[in-house]
Amino acid sequence: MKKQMILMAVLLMTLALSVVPVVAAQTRLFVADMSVTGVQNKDEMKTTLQTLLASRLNGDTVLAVGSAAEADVVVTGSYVSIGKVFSVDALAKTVDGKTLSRAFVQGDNQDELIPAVGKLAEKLLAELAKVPTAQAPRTSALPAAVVSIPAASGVVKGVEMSPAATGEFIKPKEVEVSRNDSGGWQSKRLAGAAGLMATGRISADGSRELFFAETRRISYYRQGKEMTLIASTELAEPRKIISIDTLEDGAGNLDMYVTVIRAGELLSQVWQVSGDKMVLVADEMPYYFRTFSHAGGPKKLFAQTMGRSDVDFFGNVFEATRSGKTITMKNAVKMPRYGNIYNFNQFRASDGALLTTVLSTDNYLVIYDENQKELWRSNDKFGGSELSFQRDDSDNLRVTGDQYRWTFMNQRIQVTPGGEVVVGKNDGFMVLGKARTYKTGAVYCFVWNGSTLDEKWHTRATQNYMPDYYLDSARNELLMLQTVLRPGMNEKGASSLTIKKVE
Amino acid sequence: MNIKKTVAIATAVGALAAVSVPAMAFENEFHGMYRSFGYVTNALSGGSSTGSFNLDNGAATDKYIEQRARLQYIAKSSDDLKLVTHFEIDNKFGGANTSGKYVPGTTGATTSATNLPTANGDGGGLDTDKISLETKSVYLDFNVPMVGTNVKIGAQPYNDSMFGLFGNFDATGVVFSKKINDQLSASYGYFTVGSSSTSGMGYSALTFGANAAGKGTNYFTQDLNTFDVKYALSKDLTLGASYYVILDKVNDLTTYGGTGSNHTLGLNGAGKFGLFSFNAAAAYQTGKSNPGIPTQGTNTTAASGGAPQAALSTTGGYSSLTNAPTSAFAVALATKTAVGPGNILLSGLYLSGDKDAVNGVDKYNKAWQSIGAGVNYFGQSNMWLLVRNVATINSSTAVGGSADVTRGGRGLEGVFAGYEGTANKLFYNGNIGWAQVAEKRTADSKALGTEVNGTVGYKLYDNMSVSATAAYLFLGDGYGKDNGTLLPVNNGTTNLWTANTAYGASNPFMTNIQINYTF
Repeated sequence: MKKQMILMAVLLMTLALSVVPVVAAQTRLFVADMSVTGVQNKDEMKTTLQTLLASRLNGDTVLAVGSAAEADVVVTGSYVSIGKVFSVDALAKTVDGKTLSRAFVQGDNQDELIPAVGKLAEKLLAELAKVPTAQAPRTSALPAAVVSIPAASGVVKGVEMSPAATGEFIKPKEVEVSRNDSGGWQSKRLAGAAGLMATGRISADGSRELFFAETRRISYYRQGKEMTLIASTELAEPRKIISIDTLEDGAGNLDMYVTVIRAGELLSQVWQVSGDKMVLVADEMPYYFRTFSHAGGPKKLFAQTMGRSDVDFFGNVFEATRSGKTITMKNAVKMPRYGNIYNFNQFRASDGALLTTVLSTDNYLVIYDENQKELWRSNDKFGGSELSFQRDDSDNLRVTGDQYRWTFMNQRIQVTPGGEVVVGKNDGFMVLGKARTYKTGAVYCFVWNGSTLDEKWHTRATQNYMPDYYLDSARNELLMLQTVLRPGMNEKGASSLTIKKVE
Repeated sequence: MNIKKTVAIATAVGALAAVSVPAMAFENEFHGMYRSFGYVTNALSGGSSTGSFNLDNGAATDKYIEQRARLQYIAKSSDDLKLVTHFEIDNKFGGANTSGKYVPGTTGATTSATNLPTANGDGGGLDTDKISLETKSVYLDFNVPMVGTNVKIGAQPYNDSMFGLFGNFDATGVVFSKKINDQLSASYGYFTVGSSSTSGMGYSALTFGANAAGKGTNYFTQDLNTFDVKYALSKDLTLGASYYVILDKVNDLTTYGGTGSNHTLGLNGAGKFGLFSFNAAAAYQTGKSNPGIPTQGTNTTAASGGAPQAALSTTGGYSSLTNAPTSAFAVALATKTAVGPGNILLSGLYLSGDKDAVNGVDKYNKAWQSIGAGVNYFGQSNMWLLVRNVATINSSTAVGGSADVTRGGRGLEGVFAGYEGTANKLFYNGNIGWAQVAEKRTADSKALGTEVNGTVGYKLYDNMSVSATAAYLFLGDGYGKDNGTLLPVNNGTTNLWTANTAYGASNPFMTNIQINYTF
């Protein structure tokens, strides 16, 4: 027992000493591995970038050392090349995980790479000079066990083992906070638990058209400094809205495609915004609708049909055009396993291949090649929605006890013009068959590195279920819809909208 | 505890954690349901099986409550491999076996005169601690990637492609299914629905016939083979074909002079035209007769709610084929048309019947034959008393006390109409249906009666609702309210119910409060 007590005392003392900073005259800095995306000779590029940056950071105030164990500050970074354009991002942290500075540079071609690294070093040095703690973060008695070597950017590092993380209150660490968590805009509490959201046009004053859908109600808001309800309409029983999307036609009109299920059949609608009103221009259309930026390109309308019996999504997804009440389908997009109009998108890999990403039945993110062969599957679950539609399932009533088959919708997958894959994720303590109750939501951004999806950023989890989100790439804004109060027996529920700037 | 031990334990825990890592890929999936019915009725009395149906003269109104819970656990290794287990718990409040565990004043004697319960009941009685867990399904469900085929092996649910008129059941077997493309899919199933190998493996099966020597007891099985093909002509029209064949070796050489076979060939379709949609099926049966549905009533205890038409097996069991040749058919149609806030529902059914109470009187047995009694349905009728409702649990029966849609091989003709709708969380439906048997045999009339029913419910939560239903059946002349010709029980020589004072049956009615939760 004595031996154990002595051992514990020594460990505690070591731990206590480890958090005491020791002043140093020159900051010892180590440039760790850089992650590289979008080039073929990745290993060579990693080493080159590491060397280039270390050399350019070395100077009067900073001494570039050869290992993290010797360092006060560790710099990690990433190199992303899309087409000819590249970006080098760097993040400087103390060895116990505290962020000191962040900087990036970009260039239009490879000739600009070396000067760009020089500029990056200058930026980092300038930033480090401003941070007093950067001068003395190194601990004198840091046990080898708690020193971690930061890996490539995007990987959660050993900072979680930092002895600095003591105390009763745990503050969010850098690795847990999104890159875009730089403030943001929060709407007032909105009446009704909206399950769907679509963005419209931007006015000259900068305000944005927004549309929310509850089970049968569509609400048209204008989002400026505040959210202003412009108009709303309610569909007749027993219709249920399962998707809402917008698309501007060539004449500047805004079409709103509303997928509607009535008694298990599609009776979708198209609305048009006319001044402060919403006008129904087409009804009872037997299509699932969705508009999105396919493979990061311009926003287009897509449509899929419903089959008989247990075929909820029939055949392929098609690009579609509307002329009055007529929908013309063309350019089929062949769906891989699990794929349907609501849970897929495509993106171009660096070699030009058009890959498809879908959320599987169990909400794993799956990547398929052009022949619908699975390339990769996430280990974490993403997506997740409480929104569903029901179709008659009398054939299985005897077994399931339910006359209806429940088909759950899912989070949209967006692909940015830069080829990033963005997906929402809901988590909950209870996701049990049809009884789904999500508690928190977040949005994740990934980049395909040729083998896997590398996480680029994710938002901090909301404290509410996130039924829908939208990344406005043009304005670099992320809109997150939250259910702040679920609808109940005599309660319509409430929602709120958060808009974050994506840097 | 010394450090060595601590380290050893820590190492063991670490090793266990490391070993457990691959298992983290498992998904634990749970589904299930809970349903309870509180009945007030003059016809139903509940029971441990399908229950009974009372047609007594001046039948008294009774009340009871019953419940069913189902729990499904799926051990999902991946989307391509999962083990499905499904369990069921049924109770009648107070117990269905006439008593609970602790019943005041009971002595354990069965005293029918005073209706005192015995002291050995089921889980519905006081203290509820009786075994009441049933297994619905246990099967492995996996995909074979080389051939793109799904396989389900084990005790599993199966439904035919003809509204359940041939069979909607749980059975042990293996089903292969393949989606060939977006339009075409096919499946083949092999089920063993009966076996004579109750005494175990061995080669002493001489009791099955003189030519059975040398054959193992497991040779004498009753097998069902199912073939189903569906082709989507378009998104709005799907056509299908099916072939179900029963191969029976139990009576083998002694009865058939070989393996007996019963064949059901069917066509089916599902379509949609604007706001109108339909499902349809037609089928023809040939081969030897399947007497799983009895060809005549055998009941002798109908007076107090006993089953007036006992099937050869009331629990879905299957009996050996007989040598009588079959020529039977079935046609069924169900439509739905969107009107106003709901849908108009129309459906119709024709099952051929046989004139004779006993097979072989004429050349063919023309009675439509299900795989077994208690496992056929026509849920699209939306009836509660005239045709059994699929939503029923323990009291899963209809007029005549039978779960059998074929009415003992007499066949059935019926038309049914209804309207269903919703108003926010409120839902409602109303239905009217008329039915008669196809062949009246010795009865004075074919008419079974006309039912009207209505349901109003409220969705308290997305997957939990409470509803109230009322149903009333105007008995047809087939039940002989004034002449005593009670259709299901007259075996051609004796009116069995006359002797039991059931002469002049009352019109049955039923109300229930249903609580339904599924997840």
